[in-house]
This record gives sequence, C-alpha cells and structure tokens, in this order.
Amino acid sequence: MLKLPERLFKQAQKKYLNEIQSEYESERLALRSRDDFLPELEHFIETLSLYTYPERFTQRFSRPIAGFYCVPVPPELLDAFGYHPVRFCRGSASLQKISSFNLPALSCPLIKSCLGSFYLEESLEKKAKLLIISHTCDWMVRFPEISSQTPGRFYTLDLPHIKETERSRKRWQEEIFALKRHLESLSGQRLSRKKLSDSILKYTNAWKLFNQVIDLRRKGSIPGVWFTLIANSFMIDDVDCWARQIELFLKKYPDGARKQAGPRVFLSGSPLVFPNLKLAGLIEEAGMYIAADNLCTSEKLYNTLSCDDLSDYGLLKALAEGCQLPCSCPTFSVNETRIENTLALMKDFDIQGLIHCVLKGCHPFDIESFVLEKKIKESGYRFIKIETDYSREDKEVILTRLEAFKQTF
Amino acid sequence: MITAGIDLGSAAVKIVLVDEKLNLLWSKVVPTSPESVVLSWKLLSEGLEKIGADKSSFLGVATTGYGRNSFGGRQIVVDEITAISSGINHFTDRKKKLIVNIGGQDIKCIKIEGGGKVADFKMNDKCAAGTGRFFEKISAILNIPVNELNALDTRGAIPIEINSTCAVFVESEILSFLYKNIDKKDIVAAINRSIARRIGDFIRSFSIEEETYLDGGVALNRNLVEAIQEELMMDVRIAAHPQLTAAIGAAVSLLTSEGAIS
Repeated sequence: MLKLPERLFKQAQKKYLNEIQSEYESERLALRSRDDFLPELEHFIETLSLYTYPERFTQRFSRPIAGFYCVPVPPELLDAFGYHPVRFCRGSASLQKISSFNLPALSCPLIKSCLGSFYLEESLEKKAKLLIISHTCDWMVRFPEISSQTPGRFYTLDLPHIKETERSRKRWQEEIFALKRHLESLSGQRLSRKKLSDSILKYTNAWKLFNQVIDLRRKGSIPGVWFTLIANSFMIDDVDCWARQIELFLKKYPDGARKQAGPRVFLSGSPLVFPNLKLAGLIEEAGMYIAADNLCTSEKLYNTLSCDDLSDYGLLKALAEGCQLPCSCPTFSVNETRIENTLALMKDFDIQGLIHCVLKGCHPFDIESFVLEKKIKESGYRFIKIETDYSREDKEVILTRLEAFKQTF
Repeated sequence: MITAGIDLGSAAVKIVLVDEKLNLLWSKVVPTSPESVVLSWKLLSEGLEKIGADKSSFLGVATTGYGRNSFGGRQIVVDEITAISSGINHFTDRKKKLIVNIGGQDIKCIKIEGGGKVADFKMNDKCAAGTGRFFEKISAILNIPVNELNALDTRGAIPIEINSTCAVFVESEILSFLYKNIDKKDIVAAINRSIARRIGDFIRSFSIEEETYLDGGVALNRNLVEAIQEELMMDVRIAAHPQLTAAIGAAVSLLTSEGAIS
C-alpha cells in the first residue's frame, strides 16, 4: 500500500486529514447558513460530521462499531449482537485524493473515498471491530483486496445478482445465516431471538417515522438537501436517537408547510453522500424540486421488513429478503420492476421528469442509464443524465444543464 | 428598441446589438480572457456608439454562456440551450428540428419540437474533441491559422487515418505524419473525418431530425461540415450566424420578456 517513504506518508496523512475536516466543516457551515435552516436539523449535521472525528464518535456512542458497505447488510442483526452499525459509504472529495494513487483514474469516487479512510492514521473504519462488505458492484468485490487490510478484516457477503429465482433467494438466506454464525463466533454469544425482534422493531419504528418525512417530501415541503441530510445520518446515528430527532423535526415541520416551487423531479442513480450534497443543491438552485428518489443513501437506504414467522429462522429469512428484494442497486441482472416502480411513483405523485446521476466510474448506473432513458421518455417524461464526481469544480456546468432541463418542462 | 445579447462563452465572447425587428445591427467576437466582463462593457459601449444608439432607445442586456452570471449589467440571464434555440428559431421557422451546437469546449444537441420549444437536449461530457479549442490546438501543431483550416482545399486528399480524438494525444499522431512528410491537407482531412465520426456518434446517440442545423463557431469550418454530412449521410444546414446564435437568442429572450416581440 505504501508507495511513499514512511515520513512523507505521515505528512500526507496529516495534510489530507486537515483537508477532509475542512471539507466537512465548510459543508456544515454552508448548511447552517441556509435561510431555511432549523435548529432541529443541527443534530443530523453534527452526527454526519462524526465520520471525520472518531474520538467524538466514541465519546457519544459506547457500543463497538460494525461497519458495512452497501444496502444488502441487515443492520438489525448487527444491532442485536450489541454492535453499533455504521455504513461506511463516503462522499468526500478529499478522502478520494489520498487513495487515488492506488486506483485507476476513472474509478468510482465513492470507492476512492471509502478507501481513503483506510489511509488515515485514525478513522472510524480503523476503529471498527468488524467490517462487512456485500458483493454488489465489481468495485465492492475487489474492495477488501485493494484496501490492503489484513486478511480476514472484511467479512464478505456473496450477493446473488438474480432476485427472481427461489434458488438465488435461498443462497442469499444462507449468506445471512452464515453472517449470524460469524457474529456468534466473534461475540461468543448465541443470537437471542428477543434481542433480534426488539432490534427489528426499533428499526421498523424509526423507518415509520421517516416515512412521515417522505410523505412531506411527496407533498412538496422538504428541500432535497435537507431530506438527503436526514436520510444520510441514518447510516451512522444510533437508530433510537435518530428516530427521536425525526420526531422533533416533524413537530417543527407541520404538514404542508413551506411548499417548494418548481417542477417536481425524481432523482435516481449513484448515491449522494454527505458532505457531497452538490447535486441536490444544484437541482434546487435550478428551480426544481426533488419529490422522490431511489438512491441507496436516501429513500432506499433501508426497507422495513414483512415478517409473519417469528421463529429465529423466520426473522433471519425476513432480514435476508428485506435487504435484497427491494434493493435499488442496478447490479442485479433484471431491473424492470425497479424501473416500473419508478414510473408508478412518478405518475402517482405528479412528477414531471427524472434526473439520473452517474458518478464517473460507477458503471452499473451508467450502463443502466440508456435503458432507463428510453423507458422514461417513452412514458412521456423528461429525462436528463448528469455525470459528475465529488469535486465542486463542475458546479457551473451542471447548473447550466439543469437550468436548461427545467426549460423543457 | 436596441437590445444587446452577450454570450460569455468558454472560448470567445460574442456580443450583438439587435432592434425590435431582430435586425442584426452590430456584432463582435473576441477571445475569452480573464477580463471578459470588463471587455464586455467596453464592447457594449463600442457597439452602441458605432450604431449611434442613445439611452432612451436602449432596452438592456441579456447574457448567456458559461460567464452569464458574472456580467453585472444584465437585465436577464438565459441558459445556453434556451438562447441557442431562440436564436435558431429566430432565423428559421418553428418546425421540429435538431440543432448541433459545437462550442468552444463542448457539443450540445438540442431537439426542438413544433412551435419552437426545447423538447430535449444532450451535452457531451468533459471532452473537447471536435470543439473550438480542439481546432485551436490542431492549428497550433500544424502552424496553420484556424480560419485557414476552413479554406484549405482537402479535395483529393489521400485517405490516412487519425484515430485519436483526444486534444492532447492527437498531437503525437499528427507529428508522426508530419515526420513522414505527409501533406498537411491530408492530415486536416483525416482529422475532420475522425472528428466527424465522433460528432456523428454523439448525434446518433441522441436523435437525428430531417432538419438538422450545425451551429457554433466550428460550423464555419466548411471542410468539417462536409465530413459531418458524409458521416451522417445527409445534408445539414448551417445557422445564419453560427458564432452569434446564442447571443442573438439571448437578446430575443429579453425582447420577448419585455413584450417587444411575441
């Protein structure tokens, strides 16, 4: 991993840590200085900034960290074993710089950013007791190898890329059962059914509350930047704490308040992750309103479970289904249902167009864009693909496109 | 009413003065520089003086292009897609058409539906192949001024192939031909074919219309236009003032918003 002499590498670590912290800090300042900032949003901003301050994180949360990447990892299971689940999908431009020398130039910015944390002297990733990776895209498959961590540092889940067959579902259930066994051997304790069902309940209740935020969004009340911020913080916050803050936020945000202007759009594609809320901000700046999305770091970062069988087997099966079947990742071989769901949502909620975000190097979403564009346009909606990365330098170019896109409505 | 349209583009600043009948009274094109805003003010004064316009007959300024928000004296700001569409609509009918604007650093395909409204558009991504900047680079390597690339007679050129469309890597391919004493006109013809293929692929990935217009400064390059026509296997039309379309379109938008024209 080290291509620099130790002394220079240490200097680079210090330099990049400062850069990363100021990147997060400037985004926090920008958010706080918005006209529509509410004190109830402060918790979400603060929580997300803990990604860059591992010490503050451990002061606030006492449980050991179980870190994971991508949606198909059930946080309820980690929670039931006493871990604090943290999703380590990162959106930092500075973090990607520190890892760029070890990856091809056109690599996915999210991967570069995730990898960057391993090169810092201290990071949450390094504090994690356990790291779980799900084989979604090719980048994630190779991630343990390219991160140069000690063998066995990552526990991998082999995600089948076909959802529709019984065989594939069974294979995935086996993966989740194996994860349970791994957690049992790591923690030295057997899975308690009560703890797991309590955990499922906690997550379900939190998401029920978040559904009220989604309802407000559908009604046109919440700017895309705030919505993404709240959703993103689910990835790192304690679930009960997050739910309480959502409740506080909802009290301040009465139904139908603050109606946002502009054409209503659907946002799809590569994930938006704090501190890179660039695209959501630019869509607002161009005068459009994000009424829905299917991003894995926003509306689709979690799915509530449906569970009739309350046995250990039934609960684990529900966990497996919950993080595979509704997953919005385009790495699955058949995506028709997801596109149909998108179209249905656009129709039901009076959405006029779709903005498809592709992070340069995120091939699954890029490849999908051609099929998606055809289907969206055939259905009479407007479509635009925005290709970007985590840098801020392309803001003007993107804004030009978005402003012109708005004119087409 | 005299109206100014300024297109603060990535490669050049274009300024026009039009009247309410949309007659082009005066225009100027200068290369973009760090002082483009100051320069725009100077050009505006120069133009108004040239046509003898007084304050009472001056409606105002509309800006477009990448620097559109930086010119403080504007009445309205128009995005480039809308400005180009308005400019083309002004010079043509309002029928369904495709506009291919080849600008200083990017290429835009704009589909206009019947009635003149923008139906859809596509822009290339962070690649300057075939744009104004690309041809500036070619002109420097070949030591031929840009406007002479257009005048070069490439008929009967021997069919050599240039595969790179990267503004940087194309240089090594060109140099290898120059070292082999290949005639510059053959090299220019090969570059045009290569770029036409790339632009053709970009257009085909979007949509082709019977009525297709080429716009932007590069559309003044007759040799490239011929190569594009050959690539697309159809005739393309050239906008009336291809370098000025966006600036004129911005002025049209201001006149429309002020109710001076419908």
